This record gives sequence, C-alpha cells and structure tokens, in this order.
Amino acid sequence: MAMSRQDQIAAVLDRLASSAGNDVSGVAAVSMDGIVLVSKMSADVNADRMGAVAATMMGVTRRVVGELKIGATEETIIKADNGLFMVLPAGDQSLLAVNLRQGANLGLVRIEARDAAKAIGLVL
Amino acid sequence: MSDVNRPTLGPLMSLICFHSLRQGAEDNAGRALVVAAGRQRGQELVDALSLRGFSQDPEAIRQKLDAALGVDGTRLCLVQSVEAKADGSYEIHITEGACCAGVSSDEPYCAFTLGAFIGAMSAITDRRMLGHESVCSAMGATECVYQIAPLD
Repeated sequence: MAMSRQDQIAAVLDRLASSAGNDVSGVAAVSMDGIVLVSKMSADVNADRMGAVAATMMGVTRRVVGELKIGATEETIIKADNGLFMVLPAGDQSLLAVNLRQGANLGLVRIEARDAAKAIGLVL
Repeated sequence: MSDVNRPTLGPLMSLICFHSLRQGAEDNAGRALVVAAGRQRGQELVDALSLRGFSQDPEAIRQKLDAALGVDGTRLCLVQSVEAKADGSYEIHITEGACCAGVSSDEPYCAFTLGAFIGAMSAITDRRMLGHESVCSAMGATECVYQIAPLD
C-alpha cells in the first residue's frame, strides 16, 4: 500500500531528527498558510501556534528580502539564549521548521535541513 | 467580547478599517498571518457555539455558521451552502464576504474569511484541514467558494 503524503513527510522529518541527533529538539512541516502538515515538535510546543508563527516568520523574511533586494529567501533563523528556531521553504507549498538546542552544530543542521526541505517539496 | 464597552458604536465597525488592518498586516508580514487569525477565529467560534463534534449534517452546520457570521451575527459573510463530499472534504459557498467587499483582484483574495472556515471545519470535524479558494468574487464571480479538505 502506498504511503500517504503525511506518512512520507513524517518519514523525512524522522530522518532529519535522527541524522541531526541531539542538536534538534523538534521539526515540523507547515503549509504556506501556517497549517501544520506534520509535527514532531516536543509535547510542550503548541503545534498550531508554532505553524502560524513559522509561516509568518517566512512572510516577514520574504518582505525584508524583497525590500532590500537581496535575492530569494533561503532560510530565516531566530537565536535565543537557550536555542534556535529555523524556518526554510520546502518547495512552493510548504515550509520546514526546525527547533535546535542551545549549542547545536548549526552548519550541519542547515545542510540536513535543506535536504529535508527539498524532499518535502517533492512530496507535495 | 460579549461586553464590548461601546454603548454608542456597538460591536460592528466599517469594512474600511477591516481592509486597512488586513492589507497592512499582509503587506508587512504576509498572508499566513491573516489566514492564521481567521483560523483562530473559526476555532473560537466553534467553541463558543459548542459545535466541536457537532452533527456532520452540512445544512445544520451552514445554519449555525450563517447565524453566527451572517446578517444576524458578525456580518463576516453570508453562508450560502456547505457541501460535504465523499472524500471528507467540504465545499463552502459564501457571498458578501468582508475580505473581498469592494476589491478587484486577478487572484483569489479571501484570507481571513477562508481561514475562518478552515478553522471552523477543522474544529467541527476534529481533523486537520487545508483549504483554498477556487472561486472569488474579487475576481468578478458572484460568490466565493472554498475547498476545505482533510490532510490525506
């Protein structure tokens, strides 16, 4: 039996979380309108709210990028004193949101996240 | 919101201010912000009306939503029909939607109103739903039509 799109996206998110090891505390795929497609965020995160915020972050970033005329948006990252939150486009229809722990290897996670985003874009 | 503390003006305001708020938010932060606000409104409405897990009878849903959002409600729009499809999706027809009142666009323009119905149908059915607008009165149609479908 063919895997549903949700199952395929979940598999991509699981791979990302697994390859990033302890650096990643949660991942989610979100529609461009902020609707959570699949969430692997920790239980204390309100996934619905996180999806809306992630899509809004991408919207704000795209407007900044547009105003400054610095090309196409590749990712947006928020750094706090106890972790990071990264959002990147996953094809035309969705976004990938990644929650990283403090001290995470950002370079490595970015590479893994880009691959995952590309894979999600192909599913949708 | 039941006690709005506006003894003179009451609970309603002009579409001019609604459009300014919507357009300003969308210009600066993107459409997702407006859709998300609509979804939240739809979910809160369903909770306020105690419609979670409500009868799946589409006409009963239409009547409840129209009473809350239509001429006797907040006047977001008139809910003309709610059609349930075999795959679990819904097609919703509305007229006089606030999002596209007086607006002319070359692409579907509803964001808050669409979000409200996505949020409402998600809450009623307790399923995660995606939605898009297949017909929009801002593009010259006589009504707006929303396609709201469960994920997979």
